[in-house]
Amino acid sequence: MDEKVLFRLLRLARRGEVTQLLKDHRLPYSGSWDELLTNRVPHAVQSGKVQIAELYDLVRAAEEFGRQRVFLYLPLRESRNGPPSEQRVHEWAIHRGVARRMTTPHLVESVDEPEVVHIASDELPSGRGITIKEIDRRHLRRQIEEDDQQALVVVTYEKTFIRVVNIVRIHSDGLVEFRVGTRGAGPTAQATEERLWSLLRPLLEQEDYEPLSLQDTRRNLFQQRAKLAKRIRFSEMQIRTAGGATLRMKHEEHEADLFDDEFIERTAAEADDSSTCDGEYFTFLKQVKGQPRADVRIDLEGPVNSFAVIGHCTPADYEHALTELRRFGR
Amino acid sequence: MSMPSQNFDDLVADFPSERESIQRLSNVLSAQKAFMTVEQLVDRARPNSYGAFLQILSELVRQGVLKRRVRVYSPGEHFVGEFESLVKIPTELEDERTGQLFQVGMENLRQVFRPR
Repeated sequence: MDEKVLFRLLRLARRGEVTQLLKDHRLPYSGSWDELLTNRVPHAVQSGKVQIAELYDLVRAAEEFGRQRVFLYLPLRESRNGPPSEQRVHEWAIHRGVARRMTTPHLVESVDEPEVVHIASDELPSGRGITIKEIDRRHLRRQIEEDDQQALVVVTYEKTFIRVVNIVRIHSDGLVEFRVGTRGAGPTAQATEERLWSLLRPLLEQEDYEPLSLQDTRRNLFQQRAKLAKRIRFSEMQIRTAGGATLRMKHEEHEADLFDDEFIERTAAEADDSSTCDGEYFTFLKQVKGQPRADVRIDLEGPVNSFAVIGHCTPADYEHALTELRRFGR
Repeated sequence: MSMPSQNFDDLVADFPSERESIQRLSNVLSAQKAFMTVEQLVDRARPNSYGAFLQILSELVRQGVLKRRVRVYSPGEHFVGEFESLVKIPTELEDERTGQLFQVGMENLRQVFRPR
């Protein structure tokens, strides 16, 4: 691994995490963020007290979880053969020209085209699984000029390319999870997901999988809202009646629960079993004991097998959110 | 929440033509927990003069009866942030719901009030 690039990528991590790592190794951790990254951390590595792998784990934790739209799939019943073996993953990696990424992550700050940078065997909640990490680029658009001509308004934008991370995880229980970076502008999340399915061929074939519907999750969360009040704060909800009418509820106070409002609660209680929840925006609330350790905002709208994690979260908080979303769908 | 009546009595003395709208404003604020926009307050208080009403709101903010904030909403109408004043709002902000950066214009701002 290119240590210099790693030290630069470490800026993605939170300062507290880097400081904690140095503390854990009983190393000095005072000084500015720049001082830590350009002096203390490199010295810690040179002295052999901090391993490169520990720093890489911090980068992974900082950029692989959150600010993503997630798509979930399960194998079709007739093709439930379990996850691919390591041998098959290796063959696929050779086929795609990325076999080295199984042993050595490629550290890059930016790419022109999407690039698989790491294929890892990770311990996931359901057991050992495979993580395929891709670095992609999207862009932020800034308007720099507006020229009001006779019949035309010509607007000029400046594009700033940004690094985003896409992840595919193949769980031991068969679940295939796509996490698509959504920051900035670029291809839609669905388009990126389609591209990733193509990339996975012939390791996984999309026709062997079906979307894991979160429709029951939406309904169960809604129906159990009173019981979940200390764990989930609802901000938006859309209910569709059997007659095709839509009721959209939203709380203007971003830290208030939608259903604390008596009128909203009375109205929602009128929704019968023939109504469906089209979408929800809610927060898994930070717990004093247990997960999540910080609020995790979830947008449960869009394709039925999909949700978005708004903002960054830690790996543990993400796993908690994913586990809960699946659990409420059962 | 009950509003300090002295503040409103003083306002009536300063804006006698707005006696009734000040009373209605007092009633609204007593029952209100959430932030309200100027338009919502005008709708409820029905002042005779918009300009006088803005002065009344400013006076209530100055006296500490009302809290004033500026909220920023993205072009997609998502809440992005709340600021104490206009000067503290960055020229560009990101809508985390969509991942899009946007330049903050007047159309993205809502001035809101709430009882302290």
